[in-house]
Amino acid sequence: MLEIDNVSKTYGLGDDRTSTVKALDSVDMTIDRGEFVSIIGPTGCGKSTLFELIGGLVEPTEGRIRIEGDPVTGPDPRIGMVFQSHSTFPWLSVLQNVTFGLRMNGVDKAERRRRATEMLDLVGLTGFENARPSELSGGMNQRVAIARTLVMEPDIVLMDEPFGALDEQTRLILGEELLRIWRETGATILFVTHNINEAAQLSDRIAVMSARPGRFKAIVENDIPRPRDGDTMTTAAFNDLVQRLWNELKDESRRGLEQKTGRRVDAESGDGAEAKAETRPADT
Amino acid sequence: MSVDTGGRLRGVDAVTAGRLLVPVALVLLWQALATVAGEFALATPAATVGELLGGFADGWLLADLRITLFTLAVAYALAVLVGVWVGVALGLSDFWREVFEPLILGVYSVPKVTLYPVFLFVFALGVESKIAFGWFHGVFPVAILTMAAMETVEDDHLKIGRSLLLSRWQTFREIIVPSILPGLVIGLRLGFNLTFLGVVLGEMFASRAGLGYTLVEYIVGAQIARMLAIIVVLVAVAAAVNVAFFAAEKRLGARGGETADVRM
Repeated sequence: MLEIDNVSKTYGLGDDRTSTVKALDSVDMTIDRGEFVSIIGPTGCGKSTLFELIGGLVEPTEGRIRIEGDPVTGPDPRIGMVFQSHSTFPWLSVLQNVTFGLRMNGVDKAERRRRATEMLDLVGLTGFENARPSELSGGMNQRVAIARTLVMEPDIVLMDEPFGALDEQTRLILGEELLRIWRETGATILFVTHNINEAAQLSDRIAVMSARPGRFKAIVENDIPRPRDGDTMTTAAFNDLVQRLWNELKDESRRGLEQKTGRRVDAESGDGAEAKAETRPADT
Repeated sequence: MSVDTGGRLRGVDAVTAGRLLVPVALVLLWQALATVAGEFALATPAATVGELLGGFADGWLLADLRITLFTLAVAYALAVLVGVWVGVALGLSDFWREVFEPLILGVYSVPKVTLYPVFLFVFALGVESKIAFGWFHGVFPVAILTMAAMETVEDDHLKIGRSLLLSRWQTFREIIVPSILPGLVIGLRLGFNLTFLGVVLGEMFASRAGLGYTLVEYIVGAQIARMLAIIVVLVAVAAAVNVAFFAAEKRLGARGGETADVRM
């Protein structure tokens, strides 16, 4: 069980650290073992901050994060992290990338090889052991990154927009594969994304974040039955869910954009018809 | 396709031939200059090679070379150790980099030979002052280029290191060094060249041994052929080390290029 207990994070700004910005404000959620939860929110809402807080890379200003009751005070071996893109080590082969964490933790060579081979099979990269990341596509690189994290057998996998830099087809295929991997490993997955369709395709629950300071504006249950595939995305239930998420998100997206550009964005620009167009993965 | 390859092969051969011809031309030029200037101003290549072989046979050249190489090795090792450490430490912190960068670049631009008296007073005449002076020349380019190369370390790679609970040493060896290697090698080469300069300068001005010291002896004594023999040895050491560095840079550069392509 992962508890995010009333967590806030304030950053100091500037050289003198006198001005501050509140990135997260009283974020609260309890995630059950084996759950797949997505976090969606507008640009700059603190999604990545939350990701780093749970991963133990930064400390919360207020509140606590607990894994099975233990407060998180730093990186924890029970948590695995997958980053946005280009996080594979270009100087290592695929196999060496996947065995990296095991080697650093003193696992012997035969065991490393056995577990990595199993993982490469799980992510569909058997036969690419000796390839370099530079020889692989973006999607294959993300498979390597996922395998590198999963080989450590974490209970909780944090993913920060792992498919953000990929094209739509690759993203859909990897989404389906991620669901299969999730089923086979039984891990808890916390999936940060700005893509509404992706959140609806993958998750049990979806936390919608507000513009900065990031709060959980709504936590939406996703009742669409599993297994889900490409056809699921054409059903009325799926479209209703996407519409509902967009309704929660659209004002926040506008505010996020205003914060980013320092300009007001027309409040009438986000009606339903446009919403569908804007939530296509290719548009993100 | 085959024409292409053939053309490239011929191109490579032409370049290699050219590279070999340049030293031959230089030796011929040297011979011509020596003939014109006379043996008291400039010894001939043949006379120089004679002294070179004689020097190694007698042992004086070898003894001096050993002393210089030992001094150089110690000074360079210390320059690399401190330079890489400072460069990595400053590269990891925006604050400390901004504090120290102007200072380091400022001191680097000072003609360091003007500071030699300071080294003499602190370390006295001997191997320590030569080592310190060589180190002082070499440590700056190593630190500056390491610091610059630290910009190429991906934040996400460091975060992965942290999430895998890597020790500082593991992070350095397994993530930072492979990330900065292409830039680091350039820093190591420049650092070597300047350390070498510092050591030889130290030997020339304030020392009782080494190729630099003996070089000044023969300059003062107008033993032109022996002087040139020492210069040939110094050039050979510098050239051999630089050729090795260039080969390493080329290999790493090719890899870095591939990486950069993928990041686009």
